[in-house]
Amino acid sequence: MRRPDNWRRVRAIAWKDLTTERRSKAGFNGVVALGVTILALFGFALGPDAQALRDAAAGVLWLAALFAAVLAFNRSYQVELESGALEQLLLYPGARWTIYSGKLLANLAFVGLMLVIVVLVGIVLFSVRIPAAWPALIGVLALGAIGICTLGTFYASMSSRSRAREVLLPLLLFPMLVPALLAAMQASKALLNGDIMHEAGAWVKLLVAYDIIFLIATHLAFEHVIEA
Amino acid sequence: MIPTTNNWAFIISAYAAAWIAVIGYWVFVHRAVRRARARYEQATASLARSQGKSQ
Amino acid sequence: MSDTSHTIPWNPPKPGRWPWFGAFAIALLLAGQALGVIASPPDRDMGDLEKIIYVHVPAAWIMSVTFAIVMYYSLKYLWKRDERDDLAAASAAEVGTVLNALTLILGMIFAKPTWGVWWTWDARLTSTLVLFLMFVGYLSLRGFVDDPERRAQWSAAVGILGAINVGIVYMSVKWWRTLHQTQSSPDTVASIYVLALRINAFAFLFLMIYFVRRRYESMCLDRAADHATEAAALGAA
Repeated sequence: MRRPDNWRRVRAIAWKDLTTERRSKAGFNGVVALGVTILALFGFALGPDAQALRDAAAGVLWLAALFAAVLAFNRSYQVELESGALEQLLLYPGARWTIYSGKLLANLAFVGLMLVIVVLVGIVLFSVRIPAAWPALIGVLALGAIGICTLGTFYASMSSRSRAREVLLPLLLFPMLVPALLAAMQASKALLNGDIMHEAGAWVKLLVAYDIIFLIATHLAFEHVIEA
Repeated sequence: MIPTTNNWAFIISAYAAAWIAVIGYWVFVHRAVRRARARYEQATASLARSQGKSQ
Repeated sequence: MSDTSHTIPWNPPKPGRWPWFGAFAIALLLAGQALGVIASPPDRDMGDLEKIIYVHVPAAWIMSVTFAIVMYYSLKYLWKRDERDDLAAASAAEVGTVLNALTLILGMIFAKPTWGVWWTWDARLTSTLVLFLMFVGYLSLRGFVDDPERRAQWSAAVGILGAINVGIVYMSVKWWRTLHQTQSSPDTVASIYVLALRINAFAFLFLMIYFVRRRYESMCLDRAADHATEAAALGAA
C-alpha cells in the first residue's frame, strides 16, 4: 500500500515541476543557450586547431553541461519559494524524500534534454568523430547526469533558501562533484578515442558507485535538510 | 644529490608559515572568546535588569 | 528569576584550566620543532629538507583527526539534536580548514625543492585541495544561513556528505594520475626522526584540541548571548 503511494507522490511532483517548465520555456531555452555559449567560449580559449579541440572535447562538454545545470538546480526550488508552496508541500502527509525524488526526476529530465542538445552542438563545434561504441557513450552521459543532478538537487534545497544562493550552490556542489566529473570526463574521453586502453570500464564502475552512494545518502539526509 | 645550500630558504619559510598560522589563529580565537564573553555578560546583565523590573 | 538558565538549556563553558593546556601545547610545539631542526641529522636523500616534514606531516595527520571530529559531532547532532554538538562540529571544521590550508602551503614549499614544481596533481595533494574546497563551502554555508537550527541541520548534512566524498575523491584522483611518493621504509629512518615527528604530532594534536575547545567556548557564549538578548527584549516588551 505504502510503496505505490510514495511512487505516485514522486511522479506527481516531477510532473508538476516539468509542467511549470514547459509552460514557461524561457528557463529551458536560456539554460541551453548558456550551455552552447560556454562551448563556444571554450572553443575560443583552446584555439582553432582541430586536434586540440577534439582532445579537449570530453572535458569541455561536461563543464559546459555542469555550468548550465547549476542554473537549473537553483530554479527548481525558486517557484515554490516565491509562492510559499514549499511549506504546503511539507504539510502533506507521507515521506518527505518523495519531494526530493520528484524534483530529482524533473531535474534529470531537464538536464538530460539540455545535455543532448549541448552534446550535439559540441560534436559539431569540436569536430568530434562519433565512435562505434556510441551507445556506451550515451550510458556514460546518463550516469554523469544522474551524479550531477543527485547532488545538485540536494544542495539546491539548501542554497536556494539561503542568502547568496548564486555563490553558495557552486561552492558546495563543485568540490563534491569532482569524482563524478573526473570519471565522466575520463570515460567519455576514452570512448571518444575508441577506448584502446580499455580504461572506460573502471571509470564507469566508479561513476555507478558514486551515483548509488549519493542517491542513498541524499535520500537519507533530505529529511533533515527540508524540515529546518 | 640535492644541493643543500639553497634549501634553508624553504625550510625557514615552512616554519614561518606554520608559526604564522598558529599565532594568527591563536589571536583570532582569543579575540573571539573575549568579544563573545563581553557580549554574553552584557546580555545576561540586561536580562537580569529587565526581569528585576517586571517582578 | 534572575537565573538565566531557562533561556537556554545549558550554561556556556568556562575557560577553566584550558589556558594552561594551551600554553603547554605551544611549549611542546617549540620543543618538538627545536628537536626537529637542531638535533635531527640531515636525511640521506633529502638533506636538510627533511626538516620540513616535522611541520608538514603532523599538520596533515591532525587535519584528518579534526575532520573526523567534525564527522562525529555532525552525526551526534543529527542523533541527539543538541545545539552544542553543532557548535563543536563548526569549531572543529574551522580549525580543520586552517590546518588544511597550512598543510597545502607546507606541501607546496616541500614540493618545490624536491620535485621542482610548486604543485603536482597527485592523489594526496589533489584530494587535500578538494577537501579544503569542500570545507570552505561548509563554512560559507554557515555564514550564509542565519537561523541556528536550520544552519545546524544543513551543515551536519554537508559535513557528513563531504566526509563520505573524501574517500571517493582520493580513489578517483589516484586512478586519474598516480605519482607515487616513495615512503621511506622504517629501518632507514633514524630514531631521533621518529621521536621528533611524534612530539610534533602530539603538539599539533594538543594545539588543535585547545583551539577547538576555545572556539567552541566562544561560539557557545555567542549563542547564549543571543538567547539572553532575545529573552531581555521579550521581557521588556
